[in-house]
This record gives sequence, structure tokens and C-alpha cells, in this order.
Amino acid sequence: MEDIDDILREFDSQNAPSNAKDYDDLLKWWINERAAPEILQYQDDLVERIMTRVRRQIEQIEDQTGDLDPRTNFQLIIVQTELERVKFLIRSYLRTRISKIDKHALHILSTPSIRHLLSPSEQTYLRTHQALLNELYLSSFLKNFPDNLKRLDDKAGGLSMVEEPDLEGAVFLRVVRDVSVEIAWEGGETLDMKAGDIYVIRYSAVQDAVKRGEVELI
Amino acid sequence: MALPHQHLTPQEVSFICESELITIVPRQRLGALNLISIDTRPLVPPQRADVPLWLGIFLRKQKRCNIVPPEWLSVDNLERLVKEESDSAAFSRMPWRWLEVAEILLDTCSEDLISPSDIALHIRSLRELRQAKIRAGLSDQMNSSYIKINNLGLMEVSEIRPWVGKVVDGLRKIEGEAGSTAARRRKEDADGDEDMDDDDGY
Repeated sequence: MEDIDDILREFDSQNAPSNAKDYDDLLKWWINERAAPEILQYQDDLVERIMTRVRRQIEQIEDQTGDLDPRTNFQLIIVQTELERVKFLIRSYLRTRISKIDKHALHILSTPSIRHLLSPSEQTYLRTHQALLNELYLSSFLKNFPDNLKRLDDKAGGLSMVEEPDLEGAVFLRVVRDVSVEIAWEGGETLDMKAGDIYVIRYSAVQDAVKRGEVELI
Repeated sequence: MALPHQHLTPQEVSFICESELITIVPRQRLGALNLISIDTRPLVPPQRADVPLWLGIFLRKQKRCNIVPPEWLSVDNLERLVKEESDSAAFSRMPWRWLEVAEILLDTCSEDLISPSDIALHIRSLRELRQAKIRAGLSDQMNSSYIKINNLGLMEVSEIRPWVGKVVDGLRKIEGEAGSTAARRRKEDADGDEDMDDDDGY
């Protein structure tokens, strides 16, 4: 005969891992975005879930502020501190992505597969931002250029004006699961990486392993 | 400029390590909290509980709890590690965030640790030993395809990240040109061999 408390406690303990796991996942994806030279898949569900909880916490804080009981007050301070930490995490995650979008704007616009990695609001931001910049350039100096120099994505002369992410840059990583990686530029030599090792390696060699979660960037 | 620093700053590394759990002995009751990242159980003194590090040091600063130091942060263990470190050329196994956790704990709750000054001394010697090893070892291992360094902590990785990254990229650029020259020469040799085979087949 199960008490209602037991049932509730069971329910809670099933929920609690997913709360902690979401936060850990966000932390992991934040570190990944910081370390990777290209932009990664936007974690839509994850961010949505965490934002829901953030909103709920804000409501709870607003309800309980004004209650002068010192015990609740103290709990409120803890809740607020945690809220600030999570907000920082989300903001930094979004800021990292925006800075990458700004850097490689034209490249992302012209490559649909990368465009799909962005969230809808990020895509809107990209388009409007580029439109504004174009307007600005045109009206300030570009209209006075001769016609063949007016393009912003000029690929003539072997040098492209479009800045692409540097996939060959060095990244630090830690191996989560054993994995073998092909190193393309040394004649196809395979590198066996064991769990727990730390490597400094070119991003292009481990790109797929990162996406599959076999290694984590640090 | 949305992001001033491309790499993880030390403060961010501290932030990351503050999410780890630590054991505390509460001195006051505290109800269960539904936080975003974790649902804490009620704190009933003197039962020990596991809370995130940021919460632990927050409570400690207000003297509402005592922190139980992790097992690896004891004088004996640290002495053993210092000896290990100075004996072998490889890095000894350290917990993933040893430097950050050690610094935070020494700052906030030195009374909870046994002989904190000794611990501080050992931590400092460990740090210096490992840094010297990094500097010596990396110059041997420096090549542009990959470098393997095990058992470093996150803070140490962040310290060497900027200049190691630059060096590897620089090597890559130099080798890129040398590599393409070598590749061209290889191709020429292969073509030359083909021609000779044709001659032989005559």
C-alpha cells in the first residue's frame, strides 16, 4: 500500500536527474561552442526546457518577495543566486553563437546546411543584420565604386571575401569513449584515442567524433 | 563584439567547477529547494548532504555549514602526489578540477581543512612541478598533427591553451607549404616511375 508521499517522492526522483542532466548538458554544449571554430547545432529543446524553468523561478520569486519571514527570505536569496548563474550560462551560450554568426555571416547565408543549425530567431537576426550592413555600406561608400567592385562576396583573384570558419585550427579535447580517428593529412594514418586522454589536435580530424559525443572539447 | 574572449577565461573555469557537488555538514535547518539545475533535499543538521560547490561556499561564508574536504585534499595524499610528480616524467592522476577546487576551498574555509598552510604549500609545489613539466615536455612533442597530454586539470589546460594553439597553427602553416612541396615531389617521382615502366615494357 503506497503512501501518497512515497508516490510523489518516486516521481520527484525520476524528475530530478533530468533537471540536473539538462543543466549539465547546457554546460557541456556551452563549452563545446566556445571551443569549436564552427557553429554547432542549436539545442532548441534543451534551451526551451531550461527557459521554462527560469520563467517559473522568476514567477516564484516575485510571489515570495514581500514575505518578510527571514527563513523564506534566505531561501529566496539562494534561488536568486542560482537563477543568475543559469541566466549567465544561457546568455554566454547565445553570445558565443552570435559572435560566430557575425564572423561568418556571408558563409552561413550561402550554405543552407549550416543555416539549418541556427535557431529561427538567429536566422532572422542574421538576415536583418546583413541587410542593415549592406544598406550602410551602399549608402556610405559602395555606390561610388565602379560596378565590378561593388560585390561583397568577391571570389576573384584567388582570395575570397567571404570568411569561412577555420576548421584546421587546434582544439583541446578529452576523450569520452574509445574512438579511432583518421588523420587525413598524414596519408590516412589512424589514431587510437582511449577514454580519459587529453589531446591537442586539428578540429577537422575530430569533427564527427565531437558531433557524436565520443569526445568532448575542453 | 559579442564575445571579448574566445577562450575560456579563468573565471569561467571557476564557474564551471562550482557546479560540482561537495559534501557539507549543515549547522542550520534549511528546507528543500526546487532549483533550476537541481532539487536539493532538506538540510537537517548534523546530517551530511551533497550540494553544489557554489551553494556550499555561500552557506559557509555565512557560517551556516561546514565543508567536508574531498578525500584527495589531505596532507598525506598531497605529499604522496608531490613525490610521484617529482619522480616520474609523466603527469600523475589528478582529479579533473583539482586546482580550482583547492583554491576555492583554501580561500573560503581554511578552518575546515586540517593544517591548511601545509596543504597550500603542497598545492603550490604541485603546480610548479607540473608547469615545469608542461614547458619541458611540450617542446619535445610539438608537431602539427596531434599532441597527447594526459592527466592535466582544466585550469592548466586553459593556461596553456592560447600559446599552444598558436604554435600548432603556426607549425601547420609552415608544414602546409612544405607539405605541398613534398606532395608535388612525390607526384613527380611517381610520374617518373611510370614513364620508366613504359620504357621497360617496350
